[in-house]
Amino acid sequence: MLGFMLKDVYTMKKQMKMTLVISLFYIIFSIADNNIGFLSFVVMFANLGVLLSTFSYDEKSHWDKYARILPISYQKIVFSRYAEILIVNAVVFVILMPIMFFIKKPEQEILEVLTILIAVICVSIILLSIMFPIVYKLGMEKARIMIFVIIFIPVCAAVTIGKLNVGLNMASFLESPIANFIGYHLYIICPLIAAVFFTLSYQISKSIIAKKEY
Amino acid sequence: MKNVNLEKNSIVVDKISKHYDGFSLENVSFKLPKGCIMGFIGENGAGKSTTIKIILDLVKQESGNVSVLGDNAKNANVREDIGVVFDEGCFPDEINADNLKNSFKYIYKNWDSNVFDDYLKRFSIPNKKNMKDFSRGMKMKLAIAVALSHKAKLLVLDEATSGLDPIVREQILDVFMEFIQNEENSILLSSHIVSDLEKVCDYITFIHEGKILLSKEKDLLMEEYGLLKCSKKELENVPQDAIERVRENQFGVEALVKRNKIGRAFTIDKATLEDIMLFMIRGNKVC
Repeated sequence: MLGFMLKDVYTMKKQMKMTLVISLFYIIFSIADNNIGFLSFVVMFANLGVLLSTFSYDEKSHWDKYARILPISYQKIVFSRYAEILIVNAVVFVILMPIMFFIKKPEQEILEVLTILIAVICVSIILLSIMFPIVYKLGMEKARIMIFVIIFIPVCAAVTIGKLNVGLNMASFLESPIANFIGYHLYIICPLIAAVFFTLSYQISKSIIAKKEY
Repeated sequence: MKNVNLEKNSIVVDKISKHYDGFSLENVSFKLPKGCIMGFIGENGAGKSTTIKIILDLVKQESGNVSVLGDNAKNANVREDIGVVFDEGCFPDEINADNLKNSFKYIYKNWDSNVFDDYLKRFSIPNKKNMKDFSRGMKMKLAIAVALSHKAKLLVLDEATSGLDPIVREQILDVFMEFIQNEENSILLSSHIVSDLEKVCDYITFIHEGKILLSKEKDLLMEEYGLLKCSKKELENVPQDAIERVRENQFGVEALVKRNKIGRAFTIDKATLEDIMLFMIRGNKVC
């Protein structure tokens, strides 16, 4: 498994350097503007820019087929990719946490800042958990359109519903005890939801790879 | 399959079938004995790659059995002893030979970095150059270096020498001959370049339209068949059971004949592997 992850690191070294430069830009921008919101871009770049790109490189070189004749089980091959999600996000968390504490506004609580970071990381993990099985099934080239649909349809639907004003009273919902409970416990709820998506996604990807012919 | 088969042979393919739209692999059977090189020949789309993929468990057969090194390529321990080189090279563009060495150290239990470095030197492959800057020949040589650096007992090469210049091919064939000095080792080599196979192979398996036309020792095959060039009228005097295939041209006819059935009355030329392949595919049967 370590061999596969090392190979991914070597393959992505250029991509990682580029992500690092872009991330630095956003970090500096966040500090200068005293706005932690920009740091969520760093999380997205690290996840989508680096982790998804590994599939493109593998597809282009036919590495997937080669990987299956190596003495590593397909479960471990799939797990190495999912482990990379955890590692990348752990690194992102460790780097961004002190920066967020440094630039947080005085009126913001530490738990609030921590919750924002955890929520953004969890959203990234959920997105990747949805995307990985699609990429395993269709390949990166075909999966691009599906991924586009998966990300943009919910966004467009949410915007449309908001504009139609279909009787959802968001203000009263946000003041309700349930919303308050969710709000205060997001730092636990988000990782739990992400863990469910992550586990399900891993199981689905494994079964896709088990049946896949090359 | 009898156990004795599994002990003597690196690969035993027993009546495997697989159906796709427009193509079927039908009851494909052959054996690759240990210590031998088998050339797997056939035209494009004949079923060579599909058969190799079934052997390597990359494609599931619908019926029949495959044994690789006495077991099955599904087993990761068996894959430890197999070195594979595909036509495509299969290493990502951004990676170099040193990166591969560091990665494969953790993939193969028997990986030997010194052996890998020796092959890199021998093949003049730079350690730090990325794959994207490699020629096809260099990519193939690198893939072969990887396949030979983890004490594999079986090499499976799918069109690995196609598109390479004669010097590189010669270099690679030399390496195969060294590998086969160990009688436990064997090679399954699919290639369009029949002259290469003629040089190094002990066995030839010939597949056409998803069916095995022949699978036997190369020397026996070369002894068995010969080329008869004559007129149509002269061909009528040739025993029918001696004629395998016939091709007509503007000067007369050429026939692929069985030497042991034709007698001494005719002058028979040597048939190359390419001749045999071409006659089997494009020649006509005599009714």
